[in-house]
Amino acid sequence: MMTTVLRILEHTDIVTSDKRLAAYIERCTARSAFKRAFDAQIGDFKDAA
Amino acid sequence: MITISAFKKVPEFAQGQVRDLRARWALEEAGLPYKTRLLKQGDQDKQDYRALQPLGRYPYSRKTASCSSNRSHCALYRRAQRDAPAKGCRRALPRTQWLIAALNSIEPFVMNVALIDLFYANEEWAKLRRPGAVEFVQRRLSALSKSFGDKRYLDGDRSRPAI
Repeated sequence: MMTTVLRILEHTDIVTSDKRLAAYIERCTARSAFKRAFDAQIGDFKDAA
Repeated sequence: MITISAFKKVPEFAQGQVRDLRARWALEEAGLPYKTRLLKQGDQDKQDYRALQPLGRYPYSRKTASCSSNRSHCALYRRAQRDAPAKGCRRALPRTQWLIAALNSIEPFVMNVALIDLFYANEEWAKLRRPGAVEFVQRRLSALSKSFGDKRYLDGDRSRPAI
């Protein structure tokens, strides 16, 4: 949950300028479960387009 | 089968961010299959949907019983289901605290900046407000960063994130 909150500011370096937080986001979003969820959401948008 | 409701279409900047991702990710980590109910803009205001979800947000329903209210409650519900029977409260408590911290102590201040950037970037008041909003969220992020120490995840150096 914390990662999805921090990713909201991915258009800025406000979060990622902190090395620990950047590494944490990297670690979480590299997980296959995250990738599957992310791809499923994007996939649903593509299917609906 | 758990059903997650989500919007069929959102602006490009929101794709990959819309908060049904939180429920999808939690279920993926838990290895639980789910299906989606995709809503057109406006469907969330219709009576049948509001009967499941009074605020018109994105819940998921489980078989015929719905887990509604909002995304945070969905996540708490899943956590409670997973932790309560086997592990008791000892481990669940700090996780719940972190979950609430994410949603209540960090997200509102993240959103202060995000709303300015994504919706009001050209407004005069937004330009005046942004530095203060950034400074505030940076204070919260700094505290969060310190609390990590050498841990990989918020609830310790576990093999997978619980929060």
